[in-house]
Amino acid sequence: MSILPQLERDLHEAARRRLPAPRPRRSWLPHRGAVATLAGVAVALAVALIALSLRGQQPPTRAAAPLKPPSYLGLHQLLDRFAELRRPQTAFERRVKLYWAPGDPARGFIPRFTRLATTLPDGERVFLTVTRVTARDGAAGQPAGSYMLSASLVGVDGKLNLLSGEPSYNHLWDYTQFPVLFGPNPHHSWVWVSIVPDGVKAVGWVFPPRTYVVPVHGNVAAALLPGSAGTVIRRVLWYGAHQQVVRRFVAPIKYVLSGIGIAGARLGAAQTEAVSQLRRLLGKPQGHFVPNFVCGGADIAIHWQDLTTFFRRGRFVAYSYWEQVLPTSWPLLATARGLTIGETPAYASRLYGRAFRTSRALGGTWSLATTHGVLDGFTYGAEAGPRNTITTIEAGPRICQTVIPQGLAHRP
Amino acid sequence: MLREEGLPAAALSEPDAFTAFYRRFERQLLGFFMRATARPELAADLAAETFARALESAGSYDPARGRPDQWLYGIARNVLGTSYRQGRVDAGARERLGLPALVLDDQTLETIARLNPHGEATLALAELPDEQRQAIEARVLEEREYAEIAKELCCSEAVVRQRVSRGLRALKTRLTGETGEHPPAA
Repeated sequence: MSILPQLERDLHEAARRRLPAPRPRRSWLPHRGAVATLAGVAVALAVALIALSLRGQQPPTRAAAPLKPPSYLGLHQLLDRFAELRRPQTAFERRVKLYWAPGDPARGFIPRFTRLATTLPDGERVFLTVTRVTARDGAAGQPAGSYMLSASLVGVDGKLNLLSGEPSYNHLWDYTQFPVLFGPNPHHSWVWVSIVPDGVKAVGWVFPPRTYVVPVHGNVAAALLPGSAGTVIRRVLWYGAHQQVVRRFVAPIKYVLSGIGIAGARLGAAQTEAVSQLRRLLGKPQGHFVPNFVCGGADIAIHWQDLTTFFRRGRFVAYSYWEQVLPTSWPLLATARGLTIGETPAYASRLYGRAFRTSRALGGTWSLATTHGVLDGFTYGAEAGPRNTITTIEAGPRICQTVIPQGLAHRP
Repeated sequence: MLREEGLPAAALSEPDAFTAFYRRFERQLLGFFMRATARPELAADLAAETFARALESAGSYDPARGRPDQWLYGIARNVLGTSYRQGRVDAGARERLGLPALVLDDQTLETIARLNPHGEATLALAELPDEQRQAIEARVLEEREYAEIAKELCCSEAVVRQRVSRGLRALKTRLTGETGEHPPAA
């Protein structure tokens, strides 16, 4: 007998409603020959580009047109920058319906700009879509009336992949710098997708110690990179027509996280002082202070992208740095020795030795006792497996102590 | 009978498999959220959103990356994180799936509350003065030595002991109504 029988019934009904998935039409399935050709071309181009990059990169010629926030693109600007939108729409693209849920077309979605940009070797397809931001979408960061160019990933079953946090590209992410992670798909592969403007022929994604060079098709660079989920991209390179690097983006890393605070913002400091320090370090926070609704709402919290800071009775008491939804130009935060989210516990152990401990508690946790206080957080993945990753870095006495791994992992 | 690892994927083609998955982890997840929030109605809401997201993304579960409970806890932490950011319980997945709002009676709320018998203590701890709360957290919850705590808090061991003692007495008063004082002699 369940505790919430109503929820059990509702979920069962929802699961039943999701059953009659339409069988994929033949036209959706990729032709095997085409896939093989595409894969062959992609591999050849990737190898050629890697070889060229190893020989030394030529100096930049003309940088691809930068799209600087907080500019909002109009439709004409999108058409100017993305050739894929300027080409005629095919009959197939006209028929495609990219819905977020059955019978619920996305608001502001403009069907005539739907383009099939590229198809991955496993048959998944990347579509470009254009959405006019409506008043109701204004909270996404763009004013009503502006336009967003987005990439959508459709599986071989014709279903939209909804597993990326924010599949749309808008001014918040400078449109194209860092790829977005989709997945995993039913084959357990992770797909990275990036929209790039005209003139960029390939991109290089640097996940230390590996670099992937991905060719661009239809203004989109997309690649299946198994096992890459949770890893942190550090650099992005854009290559022009002659394999020269035309833009280079580096994810800035700030080595500021510790058990006693974030750089100059020490735990225990007055709220105004701590916020002032954090603003100097990270810029303007997103939104305003909100009551931390958990544990009776005794805390208030404010966010800098993936960093949540907690305040209690006018003091900075704790922070939580969560797994990044999107790799962006936002700085990555790390400990002084370089531990950040997306790294593996094995790497953390190399950095900190026996002071770093993991536990199976709460689905996977870690803790680290240092001379500068205790850090802790959650992990995700098989116990001690190679793909296990650190998903949060946290510090400070949070009210809901029992949900925080601190104190758990250190117990024998 | 399906193995636990097979339940998320099986839910894509068989609603009963998701029900089995739900029953397997309902109590565990409600307990997790009770420990996180100490409020049964919030725990129920958060659990509902977590299961809704799990149903939406059942196809994404990869046994090679971890056990089903790890996968579900991952979703749960994301739901909690999103809700932290928004200052309210996220309901996106439930809206997309068309799930109605939960109706919770007193008996259900009591059942959920019992999943974390220390919930009231957690809230009461939060209400203590900072120095007492810090001392109790360090000594009682983290089981650290007085000397280490004293060094961290820049005070003597005696002061830490006093703070722990006063804090525990205050907690007892708040939770039981007892003052801890002996009645005056007749």
